[in-house]
Amino acid sequence: MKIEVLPTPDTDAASVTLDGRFDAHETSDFRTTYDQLEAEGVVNFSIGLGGVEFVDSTALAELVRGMKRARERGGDMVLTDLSNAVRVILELTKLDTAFTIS
Amino acid sequence: MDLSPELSSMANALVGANDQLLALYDLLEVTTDSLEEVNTVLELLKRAFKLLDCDALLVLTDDINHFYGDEAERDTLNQAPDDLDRASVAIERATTAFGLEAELRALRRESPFSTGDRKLMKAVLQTVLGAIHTSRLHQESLQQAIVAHDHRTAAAIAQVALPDGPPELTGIDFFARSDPAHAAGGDLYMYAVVGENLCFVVGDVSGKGVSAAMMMTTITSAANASFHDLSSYSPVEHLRRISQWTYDHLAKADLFTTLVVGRYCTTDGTLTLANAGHSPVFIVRKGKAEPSYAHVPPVGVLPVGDVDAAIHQLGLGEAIVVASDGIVEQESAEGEQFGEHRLIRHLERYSNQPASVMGTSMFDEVASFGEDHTQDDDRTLLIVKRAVKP
Repeated sequence: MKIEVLPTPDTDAASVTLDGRFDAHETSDFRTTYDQLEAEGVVNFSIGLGGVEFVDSTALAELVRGMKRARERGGDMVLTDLSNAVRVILELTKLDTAFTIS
Repeated sequence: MDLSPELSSMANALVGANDQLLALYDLLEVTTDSLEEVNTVLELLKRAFKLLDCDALLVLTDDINHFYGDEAERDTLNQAPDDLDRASVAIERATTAFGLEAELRALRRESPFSTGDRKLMKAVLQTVLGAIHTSRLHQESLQQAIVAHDHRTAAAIAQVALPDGPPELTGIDFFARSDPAHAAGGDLYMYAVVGENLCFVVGDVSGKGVSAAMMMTTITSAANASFHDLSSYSPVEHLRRISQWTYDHLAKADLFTTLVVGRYCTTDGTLTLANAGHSPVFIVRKGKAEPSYAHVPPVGVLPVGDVDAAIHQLGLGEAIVVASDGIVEQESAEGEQFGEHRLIRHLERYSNQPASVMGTSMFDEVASFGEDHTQDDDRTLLIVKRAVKP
């Protein structure tokens, strides 16, 4: 899975775009990226999921972790540009009511 | 006996060559004594130091540098290549067929390195690279063995937690089975007979391995405790209790679990469901499989709020089927998923069959579909049918 990070200089925000299959094999890379941004002071995350063709429960758990940590620090994680595969799984699991989605 | 200067020189050269040969044998022996990278390389450098009769040695690799010799010369050898005094420092570089690269720097102030010395350096560097490659392969194998052992342990833990044998209750036709994947996931099911009711829960803990398996046992224990708390039969109340008891555990472990909690009353066929993020769930009646959707997100995402229950009336031969995503997400060798459409088609085709036939044939069909592809996730299926005959 490709992970592209676009930090917004002099702010506490960053945009992360994911592309490919987001499953148990890819979560450690996502976590490393997230934790690094968090250590740099980012509390507002925008996660672009338009290119994600598959997401499993381990990947969803990583997104939930990121969302909770961001909110605990006064920020948020917004899921953007959902692919159909991601939209369907979020709706089936009712996780669309837990995340901020744009 | 006095030797002529020429003979004396030849004798000294022969002795020197023999000493070097012995030192080379000594060097090669190191690679069979240990598989640990840092100590092996240091031991090799120690012997190469003697072999080359130098002041210091430095090996640079992709992530670790190894130094041996006079500590005062460490900074000398650590300089950028263009800043090194090439009159006293020799450099050799090598790359293995596996893409492992390294550079050997040797420092000798007393005399320059000869062509023979450079050949020895090449031999030392190749030996060092070989030792590093072997050590890293060994570490990788160890890690894989540890992970495989963890997953076997997780699968064993998960299987012990599952109930043994069908519920003893007239009026129902029951099937439940869970096939763990190689990398054990967190599928769970639990049921209990409470009076004339069958209480059941099916769920899927996110993630894989020991942590998911341990969490699964925690949740099945919580469900069992709640089912036997006679203060309430309500699936909504069971879901609320399980969530309250396990939320902190799940949150700390960065996990969540989907859960369907159900109660089937054998006296009147009423089925009540509370669903936290789980799919697929179907009500099979009159030859059709109708989906029943989640009401709230999985347990562990947010503290559980208001939950609506879904209430159905099962007629004779009608059923609730709860599966895990390991069934619909099973891939074929061509990368196609089994999918909800195949699950629905199967349930509708077998809707008139006993629960055991519906269930077993489903596992057979999924296994056949994914025959040439690994089973990546647990497969779980629970079927409760209103028995046609009492």
